[in-house]
Amino acid sequence: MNVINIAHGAFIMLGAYTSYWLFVGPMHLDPFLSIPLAMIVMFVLAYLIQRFIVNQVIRAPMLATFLLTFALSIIIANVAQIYWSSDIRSITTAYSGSSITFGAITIPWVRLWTLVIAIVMTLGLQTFMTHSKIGRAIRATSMDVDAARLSGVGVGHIYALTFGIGGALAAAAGSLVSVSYAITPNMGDSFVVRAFVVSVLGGLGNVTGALVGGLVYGVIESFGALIFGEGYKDVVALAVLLLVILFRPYGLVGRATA
Amino acid sequence: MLDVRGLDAGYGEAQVLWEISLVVNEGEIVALVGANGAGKSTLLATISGLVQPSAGQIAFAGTDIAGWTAERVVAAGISHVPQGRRLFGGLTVLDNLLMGAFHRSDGGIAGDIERIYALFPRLRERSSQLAGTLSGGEQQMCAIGRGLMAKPKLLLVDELSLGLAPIVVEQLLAVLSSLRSEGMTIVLVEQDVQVALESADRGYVIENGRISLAGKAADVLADPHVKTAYLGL
Repeated sequence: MNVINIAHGAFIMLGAYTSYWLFVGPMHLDPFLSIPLAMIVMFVLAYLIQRFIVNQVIRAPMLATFLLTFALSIIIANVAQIYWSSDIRSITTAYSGSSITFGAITIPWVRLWTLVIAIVMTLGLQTFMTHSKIGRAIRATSMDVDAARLSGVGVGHIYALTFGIGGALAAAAGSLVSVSYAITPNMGDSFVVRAFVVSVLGGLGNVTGALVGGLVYGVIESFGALIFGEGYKDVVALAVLLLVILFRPYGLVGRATA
Repeated sequence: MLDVRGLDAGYGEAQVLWEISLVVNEGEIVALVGANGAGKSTLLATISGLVQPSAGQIAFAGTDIAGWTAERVVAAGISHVPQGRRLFGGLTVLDNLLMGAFHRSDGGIAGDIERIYALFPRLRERSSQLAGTLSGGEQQMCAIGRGLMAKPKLLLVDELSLGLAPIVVEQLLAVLSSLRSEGMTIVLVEQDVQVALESADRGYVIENGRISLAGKAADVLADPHVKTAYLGL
């Protein structure tokens, strides 16, 4: 769709807070169970943001949507700070400390479940994009807007739907990280940088590529932190981004076609 | 079926069409010919809703559709096969055809795919191939097929012959005339004046955004001005 959504990190943050409030609230909902709820809330919010705000500049150069979503992310993070304060919050469940051991490798259960859910969602998105009528229309619209309109596609709705799906997935990501990471109004920033690197690694617009990019990036980041020290994490991330853009601008798994 | 009156349209400040009036009767093939930049494609785009008119009416089956969005116009029964095919290059041939039926929710879609494959057997062979990898002629078949999947009453075809070998053009024109004999109404826009008028019932010549000549296709073809200006005779 040629839209780079910088507010994606803010959406992740909102997803994490949704899970947090549902967890500490009277329902005491498990963060994994609040994923569908967070997704629905963020789908609606992202749909409306696209329809009434981002859509105004959709035909402008990409820089306009870039700046607009950047502004949105600042506004969302600051509003969150006003209402929820900048206190660092976290979700500790009964199973937070438990882990599974394979020989010398110990994996926390929450991380393992996060991985499984992320893979299922990626494959689900891929299936939706290739086999559903709406998924096909989304891909067609991203290839040729006018041809899509001539095929009877209401592209305004399709753009908003695409943004909404992105928002829902960001919310799911937020719920998933809420069990492992600290929850703050600015938590989205670090995820946006990583999400951007991962997307470029996988090839922009390539769904399964993003999964490969995510795994590769995770390994690079962990080893980078081990070798250079924890403080150089972002340096490693951005160095990887630079190298990929220089040598494989179409992503690790993509092909160099137009 | 289609009755365009006093149509003005353009892009921003630049007006391209001036007081265009044109009639297409049911079951006709109407050719719209003219030089590059005369406004033929803009006229089709205005009818199909991609370009908004600044004045005039477009009556389709008795309803004024001027200013409607493209997706509404398709649903109303006008399908536009755009210049340069404009296929979804990264989608398969089958997916392109299915995209044509996007606005439909009836159960006839699978049957209509079979109809398109019967019309263009090459598309059946290429069904799971990406549309961007097809030859020019196959792409035009796929574009027409996609247009037909919308189940239109009126088919607008822009520059059917552009970049295609004469034998392929002949095959495509044969398909269009067989569609017409099944009741389809067709507007054919062409730079190749001879090809267009030979396969049409009536013709319009468009020059600098205005209709300069209209009549039976044979009469337009025999017009002295058309002969010197477009046929080089």
